[in-house]
Amino acid sequence: MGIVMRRPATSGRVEQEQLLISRVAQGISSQRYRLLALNLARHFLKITFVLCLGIIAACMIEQGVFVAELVFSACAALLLFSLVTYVAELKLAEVEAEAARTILDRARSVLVAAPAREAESMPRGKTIAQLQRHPVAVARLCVSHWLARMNMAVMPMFVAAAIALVSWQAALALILGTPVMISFFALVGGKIHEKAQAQEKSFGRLSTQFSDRIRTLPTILANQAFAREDAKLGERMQNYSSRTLSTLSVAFLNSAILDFFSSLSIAMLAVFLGLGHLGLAQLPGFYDLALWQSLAILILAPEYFAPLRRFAEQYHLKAEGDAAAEALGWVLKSDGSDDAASPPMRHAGAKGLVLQFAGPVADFTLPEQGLVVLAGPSGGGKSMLLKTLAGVERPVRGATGLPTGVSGPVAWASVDTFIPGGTLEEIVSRGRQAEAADVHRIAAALDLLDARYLPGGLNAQVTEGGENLSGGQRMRIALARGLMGGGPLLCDEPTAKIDPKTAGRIRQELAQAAETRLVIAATHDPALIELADMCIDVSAASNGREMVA
Amino acid sequence: MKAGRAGADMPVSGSSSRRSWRLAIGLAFFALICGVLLVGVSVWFLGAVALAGGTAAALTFNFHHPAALIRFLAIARTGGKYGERLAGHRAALQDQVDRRRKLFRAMASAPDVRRAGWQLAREDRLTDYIDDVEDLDYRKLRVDLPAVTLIAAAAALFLMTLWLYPLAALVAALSGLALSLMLRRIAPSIDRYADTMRMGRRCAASRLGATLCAFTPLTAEGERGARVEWSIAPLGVAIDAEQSQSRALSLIDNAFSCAGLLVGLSVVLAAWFAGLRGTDLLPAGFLAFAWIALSDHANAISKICLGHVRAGAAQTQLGAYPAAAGDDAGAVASVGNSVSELSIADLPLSTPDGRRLGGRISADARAGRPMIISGPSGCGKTTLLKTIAGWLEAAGSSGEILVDGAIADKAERRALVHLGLHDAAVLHDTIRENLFASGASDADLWEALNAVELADRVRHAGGLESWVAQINLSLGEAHRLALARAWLSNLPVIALDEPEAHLDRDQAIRILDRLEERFADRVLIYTSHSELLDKKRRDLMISVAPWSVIGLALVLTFLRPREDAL
Repeated sequence: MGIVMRRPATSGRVEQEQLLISRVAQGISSQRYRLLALNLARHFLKITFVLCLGIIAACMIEQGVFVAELVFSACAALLLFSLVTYVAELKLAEVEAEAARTILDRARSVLVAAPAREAESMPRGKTIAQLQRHPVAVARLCVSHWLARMNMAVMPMFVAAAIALVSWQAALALILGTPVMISFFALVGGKIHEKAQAQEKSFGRLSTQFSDRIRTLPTILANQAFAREDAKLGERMQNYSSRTLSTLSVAFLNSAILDFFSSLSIAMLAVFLGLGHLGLAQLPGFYDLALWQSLAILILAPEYFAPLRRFAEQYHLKAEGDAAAEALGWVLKSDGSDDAASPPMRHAGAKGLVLQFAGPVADFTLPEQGLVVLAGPSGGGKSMLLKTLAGVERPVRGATGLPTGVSGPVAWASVDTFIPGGTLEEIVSRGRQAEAADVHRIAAALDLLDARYLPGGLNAQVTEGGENLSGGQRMRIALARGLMGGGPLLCDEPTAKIDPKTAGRIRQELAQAAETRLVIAATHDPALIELADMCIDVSAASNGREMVA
Repeated sequence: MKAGRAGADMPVSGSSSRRSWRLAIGLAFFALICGVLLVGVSVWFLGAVALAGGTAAALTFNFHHPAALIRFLAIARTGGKYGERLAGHRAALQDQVDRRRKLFRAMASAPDVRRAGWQLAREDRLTDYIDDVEDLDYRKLRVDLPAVTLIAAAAALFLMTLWLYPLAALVAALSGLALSLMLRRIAPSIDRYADTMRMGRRCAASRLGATLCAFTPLTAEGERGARVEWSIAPLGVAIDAEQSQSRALSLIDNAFSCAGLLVGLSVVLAAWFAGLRGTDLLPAGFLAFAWIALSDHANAISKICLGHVRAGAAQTQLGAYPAAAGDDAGAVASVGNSVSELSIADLPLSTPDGRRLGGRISADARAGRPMIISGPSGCGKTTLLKTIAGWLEAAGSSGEILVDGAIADKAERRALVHLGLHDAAVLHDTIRENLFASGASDADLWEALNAVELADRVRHAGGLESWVAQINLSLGEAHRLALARAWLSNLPVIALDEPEAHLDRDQAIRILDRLEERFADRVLIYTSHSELLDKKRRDLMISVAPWSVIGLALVLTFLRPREDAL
């Protein structure tokens, strides 16, 4: 009864999160490197263009010459840049979408193959919300974020090498400056982490107060607690937002450091190079350069820091992706194909059958037609036996199954029946070859056409999942559909919570159907048990006496 | 915990947020201009010193002023950017608190809240909703602020170009025209893709909802694989749409970035072909690199577009919960009124969506004589209870509900009735706050928890101040917590929907006995499945209006006063 959230140990979750990320990465590994190459080419072309422009300007200013070739190369670089950028972005979107689809595929195969009970016990709203957003978040972590990280690893060295061609001393200065920046970074990073953790510890629960109060709004109103909750919410949101701001004031230092170093590198280089040009200082590497050379250094220097900044700007992709990968850990579960390899031994009925949770059941053999009821106290295992017979649940041991050789597929009728959207007629006759008249007869017999409940009769619109139906209506729809099939009909509590008059008709219909096919019902309805051709007593206490009515 | 009154009377901080916004816009513009100038001025400076270097002017060259300016710009750019982000977030957070507070009030008076099946109790819908709220929360920060700054900076550079190099300004104008035409063409498709994504997710959510809860029937009928496929397929469509959307967005970024670079190049060429040489070319160097620095900000444009589209969609979505006119959700109950009789006169029965079920009902409940409404699933029990509680309009106009002999309208009833929903939620808060009894003493709270057999559980969990969440409690525990809220209510009419739900029979009967005793001097109304009531209670029932229409048997029964039973 109780909802128990079983969360694996933290270390296990982290492992699973990493596992999912690396699985996804494996699938797109070669594409990722192609993407990286495209990206590097893109940056390279952009830098080439800017360098060309710098050199054109330098030649014009310093030597008064117009180098047409450079203008053409600049134009070519620009054209190529836009082309490569286009292809790179196309590819990025494609690889990301593919990664997201891979995750979705895994989720699908787990949902298809997991034991029904396990799949049903997954928190539904949470699972849906996860599947809606998380695959894309993990894909972004595996592609965009990875790309930014690789760029950060490669680009600065690449730029430093280019600068070294002009002045190795300038390149060295940049490289030597990097550890200073990184140590600042680490210092601030540690502080942010501390602060964020302290914040999470004391105020984390306030972050979701708004959504929580929206979720619980009907309850708040029903308890006349709106005024108080409104005031409390205002206070808590205010409190949380001021805490958030104080965390942000530290978090923004991170990118401020990068900005600072990038700006400062331009300023310092400009000053040194200026001094060199004027001959006021004779720093080796900054002296006796042509204008195009010093302009090249000035243009390249900020590109050294740019990949770092781009990476830092994507911190949210990292956070979202990690959280998503953790939440989606379940898609890595083995999809149960090992189980499918050894289906339980077959026997039409039960032979040495031991049910999960409920224990042993006395042997019985099912007829090919007739009304069989599974009776017994609540929680005794009626539903479990019905599910085990249908092959939904696996027995602990023993042989079980439905009679073979019956015509038509199994039909299952229960309150949690599957209801796609559509008209009542479409839902009732889904997957059945039934004449319209038959559909009408059965729907009328089960009292489904009462316009007060569902206006429009067979044309009544039903929403997906049957949100606008009561439990009784859902049961009757399931029965109507089940009664139109030819195979065995399995019903779970077909007459519970249904008014006496309709319950009577249901019993009658089931008894009539049992003349030509096998009908098995798990029930505690004495009147239905009365009608049964065979009654199997299922209870944990009884060792499964079989009584024949 | 104290819920300070300060919050309730908190003035809307519109003026202070406006000041923060002005500061943020100012700083953003300042930071952007400093960044653009830093590159431009550096180039100018290098050109100037290079020209001066070979000549005697080198010795007289005023080196210090431009060098200081460059250092200043470097620091100012960093500081400005930091300040901009901080001021922008401060303003956005201030707005967020106000907007969410207003939204909360509006939601509370939306008629949907009181109807059957609160959609936002579902996690997927709630996540959608919160996404929309966030899109609106950050519209100014993500859309307005960068858009204003970028447009201002581009306009400034354009004017400067027009003044110095009209030919290059022509290129800039033509690029601008081409870009705006492209935006106009692409923007609707971004909107469309966003729509497709939303629809795909919605569709998948409702299909998954239908499939996930029907795993047993689907597995039994061998249909599960196909149905899971069918449910997840729309998510694939959403991913495809997202792929197309990012393609369109990257096209925008690409075009803007190339246009900036092209204008930079054309500035230099225009200056050369205008016949400018030597020092006269320095402003061109400055301007060209300023344009290039600006084009580095082009990747903000797709974010602006996306933010704009999403905020627009969010606005539409949030508009789906209109506040009921003149509905004051915060109406404080007039506590202390005592009610000794509540009667239903000729009230028509209806379904949750307001359709008449046919037939009318008349009955009355008195203090010490609870009214038990019973009947099969779907016969309108909950709707009747909500109508009594003033949550729903009675379908049809003739029916009346009288309190102590006087007709009570919806608002009056709402103020008198405590309504215990059968699917009452647990707030993410302390146990104490979850009991909604701010005036009650600890002893009262424990008494209530004892009455619903939850005291041990709460003590074990850490007492009244411990935080709970919906997932920490089982359905039965959450339900008993809701009954404890009813226990602590001091309203004169207590209406409970299926108080025995999720409880085992014996426990349900024990708790019902205690509740009936507690409310002996008040009007108590509850719904129930008659077959779940104990023999004693069933025997005590008298059907006052045994009443049935085709396919419907709603039996309205009274429980005899306890004294009679003894």
